[in-house]
Amino acid sequence: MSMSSVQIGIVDYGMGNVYSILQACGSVGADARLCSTPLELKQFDAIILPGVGGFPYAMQQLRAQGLDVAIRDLAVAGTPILGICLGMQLLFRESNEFSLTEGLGILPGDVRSIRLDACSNVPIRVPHIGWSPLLLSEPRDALFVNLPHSPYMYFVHSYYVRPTMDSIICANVSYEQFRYACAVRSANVVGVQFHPERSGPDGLTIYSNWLNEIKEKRNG
Amino acid sequence: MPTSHSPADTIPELTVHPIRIIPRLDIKGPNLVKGIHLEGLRVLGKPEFFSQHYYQEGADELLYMDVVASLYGRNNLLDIVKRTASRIFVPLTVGGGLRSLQDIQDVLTNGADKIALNTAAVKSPQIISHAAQRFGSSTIVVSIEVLRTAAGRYQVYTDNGREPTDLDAIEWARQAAELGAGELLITSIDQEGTGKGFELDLVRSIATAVDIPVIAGGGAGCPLHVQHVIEQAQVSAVAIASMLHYQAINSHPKHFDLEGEGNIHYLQKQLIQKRVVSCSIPELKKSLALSDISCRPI
Repeated sequence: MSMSSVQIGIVDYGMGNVYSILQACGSVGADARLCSTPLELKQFDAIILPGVGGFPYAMQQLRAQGLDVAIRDLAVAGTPILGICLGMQLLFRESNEFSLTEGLGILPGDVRSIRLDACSNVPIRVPHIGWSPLLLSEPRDALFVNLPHSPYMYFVHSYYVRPTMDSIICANVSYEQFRYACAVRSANVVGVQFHPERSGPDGLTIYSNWLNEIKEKRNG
Repeated sequence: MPTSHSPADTIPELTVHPIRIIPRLDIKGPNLVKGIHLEGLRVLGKPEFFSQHYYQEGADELLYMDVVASLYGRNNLLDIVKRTASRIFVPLTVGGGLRSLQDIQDVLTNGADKIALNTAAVKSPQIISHAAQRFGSSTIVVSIEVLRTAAGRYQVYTDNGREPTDLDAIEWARQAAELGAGELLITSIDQEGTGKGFELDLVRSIATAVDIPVIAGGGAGCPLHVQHVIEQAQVSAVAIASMLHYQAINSHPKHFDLEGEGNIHYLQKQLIQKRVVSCSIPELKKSLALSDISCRPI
């Protein structure tokens, strides 16, 4: 392993757009690889937990590979962790997608259905698919430096996270006037509901910002 | 629910979700092609060239449709998907000839973000729910190709507009949504490639029958057509081919001279498609903005 490049492990549990994430990491100069065992996971400077699909099946896959315990251990040990889309949702305590399912429990809060909670007069189209501007919390989180005032990011999801503490929310989004948290941070653990690897140059800036954070931590 | 009480609250929130502009690239073998009524395909060039151009122009997503969808060409398609996904950082939907969960898995593994099902879903609708359970609803687009019958009914076709079915398009759209489709792509075969505008009544009927996003396709010939389908048919996105392809070709004349491939002489001589106004994505978005239609800024 070279000393200069940051080694990122992408958790490979059979769910998620890992190819796009690998490309995005590569494009900002990180050395990213897939990893599917707890032992491998410990060798990286930082971890990305991707995820596209259903919450219960995802948790089942993580448990079957012993990755749930490994990810929790790394979170406690201070390893930078980035959860993307379903990967962000898995970081929370539980989800009511299909049936109530326990999550990794690293972040406080739960995962709920947009359609059930939006209670709009007009029927709301779900999934939320498309580009939405972020409503960034102040002061700006390190993930969002070098970006416009309200950067547009690409969303594609039917469930959303409901953190129990406002202090972990670093961005909200409003979809058809229903507003919810879409980026969270608790120390070394961050999560984004949108797909920065599919959000054009601004999305790649988020990867680059995260990479800088990892470098600073490693050097400092 | 919790929200952060910060200066961010002063940002005016969008009351309408931005409309997605999606270049549609029909693919045959290694080439980007374009037809009329989904037939009479002409080679325009390499899909990678066009997708790169559209990414840089501010496309909100890209749509690849394998219009021949032979098993023989499958690896070729996967290569194109892989090369594309490594260079463009917006979502890519891939459809055409996907028959099984394994086919879907293969396309996703090679970098597609969403997949489109048509023929396989009509033959066996349960593939929609199985795919939604396995890969997530939001990954599954059901593509519905429609021809208006003499009696004014909307009839569903499969196999890229070649095979008629007994299905009514609006009924089928409702069923696909119930089975777990995340999104519907509606292509009017009557309008496709003609530049005469979208089949507004069809798209509107489907968009009001379902509560998932609907992508309108088939017929865009100028920005006004795009404006009309957004204003009058409640769509979330618009799939466009000819208008954008001709602009892409016109803006890179040297590339096409050098490549020496692609049957574009007929385009340069304006032998066909006089109805289609070529237009770039920034021009289209600017035009929509004048009508208060919100898009992702470029």
